[in-house]
Amino acid sequence: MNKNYKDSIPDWLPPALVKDWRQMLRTPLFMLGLLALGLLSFGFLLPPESEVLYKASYMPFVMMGTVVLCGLVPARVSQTVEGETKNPGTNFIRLTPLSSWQVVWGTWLSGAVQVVMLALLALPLVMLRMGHAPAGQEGLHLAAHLLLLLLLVLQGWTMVALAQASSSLPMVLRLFVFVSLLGSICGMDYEMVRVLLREQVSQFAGMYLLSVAALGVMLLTLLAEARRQYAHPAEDCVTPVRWFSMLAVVLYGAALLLNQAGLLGDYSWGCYGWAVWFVLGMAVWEVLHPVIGSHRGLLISGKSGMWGGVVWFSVAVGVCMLVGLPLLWTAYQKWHTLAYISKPLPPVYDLLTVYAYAWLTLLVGVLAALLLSQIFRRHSAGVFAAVLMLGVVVQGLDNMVAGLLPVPSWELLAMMAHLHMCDADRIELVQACSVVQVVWLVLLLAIFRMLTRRK
Amino acid sequence: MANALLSVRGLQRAFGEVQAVRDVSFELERGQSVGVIGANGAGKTTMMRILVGLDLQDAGSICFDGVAMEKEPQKLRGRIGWMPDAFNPPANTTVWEYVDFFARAFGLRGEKRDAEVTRVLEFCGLKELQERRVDKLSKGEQQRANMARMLIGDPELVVMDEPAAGLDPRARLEFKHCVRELVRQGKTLLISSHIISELAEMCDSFILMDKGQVLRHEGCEEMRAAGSAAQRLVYEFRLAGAGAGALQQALEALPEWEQVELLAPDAVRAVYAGEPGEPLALQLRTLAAEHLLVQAACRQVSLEETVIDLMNGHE
Repeated sequence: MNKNYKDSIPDWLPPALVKDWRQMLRTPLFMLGLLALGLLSFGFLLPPESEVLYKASYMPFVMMGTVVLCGLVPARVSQTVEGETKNPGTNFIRLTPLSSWQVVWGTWLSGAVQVVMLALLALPLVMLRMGHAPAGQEGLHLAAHLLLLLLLVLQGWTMVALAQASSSLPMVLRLFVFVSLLGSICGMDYEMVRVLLREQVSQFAGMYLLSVAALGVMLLTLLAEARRQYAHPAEDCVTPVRWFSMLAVVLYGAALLLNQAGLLGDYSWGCYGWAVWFVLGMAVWEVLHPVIGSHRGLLISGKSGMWGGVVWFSVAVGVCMLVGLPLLWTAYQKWHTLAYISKPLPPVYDLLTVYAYAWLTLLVGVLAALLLSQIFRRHSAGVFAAVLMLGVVVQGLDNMVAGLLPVPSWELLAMMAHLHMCDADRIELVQACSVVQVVWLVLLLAIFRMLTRRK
Repeated sequence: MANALLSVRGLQRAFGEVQAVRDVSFELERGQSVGVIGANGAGKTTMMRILVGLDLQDAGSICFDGVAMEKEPQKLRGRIGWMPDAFNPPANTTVWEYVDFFARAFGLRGEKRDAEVTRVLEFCGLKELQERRVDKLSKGEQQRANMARMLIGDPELVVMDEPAAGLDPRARLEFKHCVRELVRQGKTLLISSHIISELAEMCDSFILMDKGQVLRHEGCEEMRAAGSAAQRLVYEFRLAGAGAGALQQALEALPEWEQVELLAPDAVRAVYAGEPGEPLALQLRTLAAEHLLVQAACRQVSLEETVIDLMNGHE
């Protein structure tokens, strides 16, 4: 009997975690990566002389943390799950007494542990930096930074769940989903850090709701993954997914109400961002699931087909528009809180016009893409993949948040309204950019359609 | 069957326009070892995947030990073992770790888990290779690791889909030894293969499938003696000179002779489907005299030929 193996890993750990853990520990790249990141993070220990640099130098650290925790670790998990799905390994696991939830949970836990492990590398750094503020400057708020670290961990966990769920998608599509989500998270982190540096931890409610919202998305994603990959075809896992999605929607509703009461301030951007991504994520899934293959839709039956998905998507966009209206009004009233906009308030009708324009752009783009995809479906996948990759590189480097998916984030919207109102010379530029965005979206969705069509 | 472990009724499965499995019904008793045979595309793999719970039938029912699979699939997890023809071994995983993962998945803890892993590794002859990485094993060794994985938890029904496909003769022999041992232990076995003679050594009955249907489900001997193939003899005639064409015509004119085939200018093969004994002897004497036969080699129709004949008869 092999005593080394027998005593190495405790019995109570989930089997899927044990499996991934063993494989990970035998991967030299992972161990080297861990060491390199640990060493690299200490570069941020050196405090710059000026206050501005002192605060600004923290951003690269946060961005690096986001990329590692929310990008690299989830990507690795996705790769592992993909490898398992491609061979009958998944089938073997499906035949064990493990429930589908246990399998998915264990795999997720493996990624989550890696995220925590990497985040812990930064903990001494944060603690040390607290006591090394430049002369005459107050040290950064400890609680704020710990909270930020926790937020990164939470986002990393959510990304691991999303990575698991997207592991069976074609590589190009997966890359797209990843870059988009990572871009959105980076953008949100930027906002969080900005507010944390300015106001420190003054508004926990927003953080709390954002965290719960992230957990909701994570659980929902894992459930969907469990149903899709590991459940017996006869098992009905739709019901719990519905419950969780309803829960998440209620939470977002609560966030919006709190925002209306003026309790959240800038943090509502984050909550609203999650709401948008959540609803749009489900909507996009609904659009794509009939063409991806035999997967069922998340909220509606697969029998509704592609046009059923389009209808659902249109309804979702409409709901998003309506839900966003009160928030738009609140943002309008708090225009001055956006630090980077110092211009006077635009007229309300201008703001509403831009708002409607942004959403309609998205809706028309999706519908046009679906129609266009019918024309392009016989073209070579390689050409479109190359275009996509080029777009990912160009847009991703430029601005990952607004680049790939022109979701009318508040930042983008505010800037558009701002330009539209206050800088007449640049209206044409905004319009031109919008057209480019629409064309880009149409092209992307056409590629989706082509890459994921039934063989 | 009163003691049926598995009862399949009216199973149907279509992929678009293709009806992969159509109205399949059969039962398996405990301890029975059944071979599933049929041409490629006959529906064997689809049927097996449905039986183990990896696919869902469009119609029909599967009852395993009194449990309806489509209603309570969770109850059957772990009770049916599945082994496909090949698998991509996981990277960076030793044989022990690979099997140990499945033992953990079956809820085995501590000493029990170690004992179970050791048991299946020894059964499959992998104890010596337990610290080797699975992806570094030979194909035959990988298939034995696959079998070890399948045997964790002691499944009541073992379903194997062409498990020895692609193995060299030695690995095939080792694998056959393992399967025979399973049969000896009284496991219920459903195994498909294209090498019917090998299956006949391991199984006590056959399910013959064609175009998604079960054509026959019967014992090896019954199948061998089935239908028109029962008394058939295959003759290869060799002539003194190049007169095979005339012999071919003469044989085709006789109603007892079938599948007359010209092998060479001086050689003909034909299947005798008539009464053996004196009538056959009389015909052979006549043919020998008229066509200057120098040799008439005879053998029984093989099981493979019988199966092909049965499938042709179905068409």
